[in-house]
Amino acid sequence: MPALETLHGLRVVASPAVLDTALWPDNATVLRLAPDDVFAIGATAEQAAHATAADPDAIIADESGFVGCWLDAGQLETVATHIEWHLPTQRPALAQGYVAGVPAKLWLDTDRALLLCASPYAADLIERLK
Amino acid sequence: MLWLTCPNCGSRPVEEFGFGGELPTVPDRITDPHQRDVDYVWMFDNLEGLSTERWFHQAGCRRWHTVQRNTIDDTVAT
Repeated sequence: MPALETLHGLRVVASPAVLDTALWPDNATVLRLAPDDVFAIGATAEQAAHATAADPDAIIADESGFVGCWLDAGQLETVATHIEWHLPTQRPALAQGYVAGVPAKLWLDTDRALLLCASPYAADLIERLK
Repeated sequence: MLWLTCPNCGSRPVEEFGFGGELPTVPDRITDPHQRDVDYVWMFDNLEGLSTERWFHQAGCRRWHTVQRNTIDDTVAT
């Protein structure tokens, strides 16, 4: 299992309607954590402000509270054995829930996946996935 | 095992959720605003049957959801 490293991005809270239609740069990994909550990895504050310009009450803040690592298909298969619920079949997709009993998220891309969790859980997650 | 369907994340085991208690309804016969507040906060129906409850998906999207659960057989209606 690769080491979990701090993920630097932006936390964007805005109205769901605005986030539904927000346009993000191609190089950003945008995780829709909740209808009104996005974690945008690789996006700049200007890009986030532009994406949420329609919501004057949008909140954009630096987020470095998550750690994560990219997994290949084989590693994802190993991680999946620690998950009770069904992984989504469509790609890309965000899946959230317990992974080995630890609150975690999986960003499932076509050929790889990003496993992430809140940084206080990192040691627990790594230990349980060994 | 009880499974709840989170509208954001999908079907998940109940261990991922925190129980927020019944969603109280205050009887119309209570008209005094303060008494309505007291009833809302402190008086519970503890229903045997279909109960409307609040659950928090703490391991997923971290949002509150309203669930209708049958307290007799632990089946979830919505």
